[in-house]
Amino acid sequence: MNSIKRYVQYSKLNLCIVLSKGILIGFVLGTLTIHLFASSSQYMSIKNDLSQHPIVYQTDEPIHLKTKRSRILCWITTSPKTHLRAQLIKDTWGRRCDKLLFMSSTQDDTLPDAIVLPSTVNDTYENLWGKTQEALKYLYLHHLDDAEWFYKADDDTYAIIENMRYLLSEFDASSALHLGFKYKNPGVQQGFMSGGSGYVLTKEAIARFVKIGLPKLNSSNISENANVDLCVSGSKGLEDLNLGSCLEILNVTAGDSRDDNKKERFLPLSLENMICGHLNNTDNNFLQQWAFYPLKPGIDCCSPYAVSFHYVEDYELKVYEYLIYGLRLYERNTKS
Amino acid sequence: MISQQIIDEDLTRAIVPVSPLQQVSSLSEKFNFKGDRILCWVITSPKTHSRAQLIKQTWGRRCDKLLFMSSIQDDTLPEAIPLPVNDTYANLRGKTQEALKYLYRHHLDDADWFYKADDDTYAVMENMRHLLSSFNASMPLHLGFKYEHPKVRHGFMSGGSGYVLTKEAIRRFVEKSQQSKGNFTSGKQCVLDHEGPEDLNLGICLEELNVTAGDSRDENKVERFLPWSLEDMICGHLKNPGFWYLREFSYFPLKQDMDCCSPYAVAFHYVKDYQLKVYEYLIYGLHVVMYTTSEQLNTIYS
Repeated sequence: MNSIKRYVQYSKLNLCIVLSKGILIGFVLGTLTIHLFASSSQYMSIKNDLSQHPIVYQTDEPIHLKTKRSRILCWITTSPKTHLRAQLIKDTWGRRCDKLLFMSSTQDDTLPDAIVLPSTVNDTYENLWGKTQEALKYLYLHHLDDAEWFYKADDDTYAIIENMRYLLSEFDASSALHLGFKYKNPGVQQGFMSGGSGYVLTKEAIARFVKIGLPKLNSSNISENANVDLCVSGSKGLEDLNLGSCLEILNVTAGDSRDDNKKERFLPLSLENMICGHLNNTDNNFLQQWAFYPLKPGIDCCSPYAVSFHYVEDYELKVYEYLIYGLRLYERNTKS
Repeated sequence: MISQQIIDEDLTRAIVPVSPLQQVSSLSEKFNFKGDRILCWVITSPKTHSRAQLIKQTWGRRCDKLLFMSSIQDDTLPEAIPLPVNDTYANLRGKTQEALKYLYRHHLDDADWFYKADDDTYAVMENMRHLLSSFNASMPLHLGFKYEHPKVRHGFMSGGSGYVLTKEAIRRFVEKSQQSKGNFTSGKQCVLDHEGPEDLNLGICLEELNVTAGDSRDENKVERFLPWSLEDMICGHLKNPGFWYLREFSYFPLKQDMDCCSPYAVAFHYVKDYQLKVYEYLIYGLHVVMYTTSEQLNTIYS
């Protein structure tokens, strides 16, 4: 009798515990959902009138997005000569990143908050690989918890962050992933991402590079594979190729960032060259020859959901800002 | 329209175009505010017929009728009208006058509005129709970016970003020029030879003919015809801290930075060659995906 009583009391207690746990979880999920809903309000700044630029609305954000965070940290490589561009990026597309960092070799009045990486290397194009290693180390040490996605761009890049979020929603932020415009190369079977139009890395990709890739580059310890560095050592070489090669060794996936119609979203050449690819010049010929996926001709080169443009210099950044976000197309709403 | 083509069949992630358009047979029906047709006449020259081709492929096809005013015939460009002029910048005035004569003789009934552009102009025709819907096409009217000048009390329209004339404006100009054969009225400023600043002279003549120089700015008093490159329009105050013609001689006070240019801008200038295709892509090809809720979407659609 007593044991039954105890059993009933025990199960009542159990039930109570389970119930209160349930309520607690429900409460937490509820607040999380509300919080995420509230944070999605940043997307709801739309003009409620008949006149619209082709802005496409996606209704009822997918459930998995509501319960996962997808912050984007943008890190821009710049240099003292082009700090004006950094300022212009701050004024235009940069402010749509969840976090915005500028990597330069000095701070000055134009860019007082530039991050100055350890100047083990000179600020030249040849030493870009060295700079990239330093930058990724810096992000790993100081910013890995600030975002799920890490987007690297040059200071002559214009990015559309909304379309970037749309792209990234297709992928798993907890995986080891690398996204961008893919080039093929005999040394990198899965391809590597062009530095020009920028690329995105997940937290895990950066962690693997810094924890596993880097030590092999810089340390004097010799691994089991005695004479072989895991990744290209030193600071010289093609930054994007070296990174891609290293990431492949570290089993970081080189994803496909094209849209549903197989159109590229990261655009490594100027829009003029991308659209008019038939123009005979070295850049276009290189692209045709080394693009990982077959390029589409003409205006099909470029996805309607493009994510970044390259070679947008100085004040042209404001021209893009105006044409993409400022200009409206007046269309008569035929429902009225 | 592009926005209609991207309807996603997957209902769980419906990408909904914001303003669905009916299927209509002609452009003017599609944007039929008042049945107003626009004839676009683009000034080009034998050396730049390639730009004319690019205009044909981009914004030109949104005009109800498209003509190119050149000086030679061209089999690859059937819309090119060979006008009897020498093709130099100095002769632009002569070309404009010959073009207006040509329009008067052959096309006055083809449209209600006549939009003149250069072959390095990019026009946004939807916004042009929206602008014109608030004016009366049967009146004598001249619309564009207005400059001030001592010789023209109500201002003249910049040739660069293009201007719009009504049927009546063209009729008055051509008929008067035919009557006077050189002089409009005795001792007047309007001249009909072939040299000199085209847009200023046209402005002078039209004012003498009582053609109204309209205000084409939007409801926030922001310019819609943009006579300088977008880079100069937006950042010109930074690039030209000293003297800048646009700032000194614009008829209305010019706003700076992103405020310079209306969201309903109608024409951009100095868009050369393949840049025309870049503008076409950025304005019509590109979409920006923004998340919203069903409630918000209902308010957009209602």
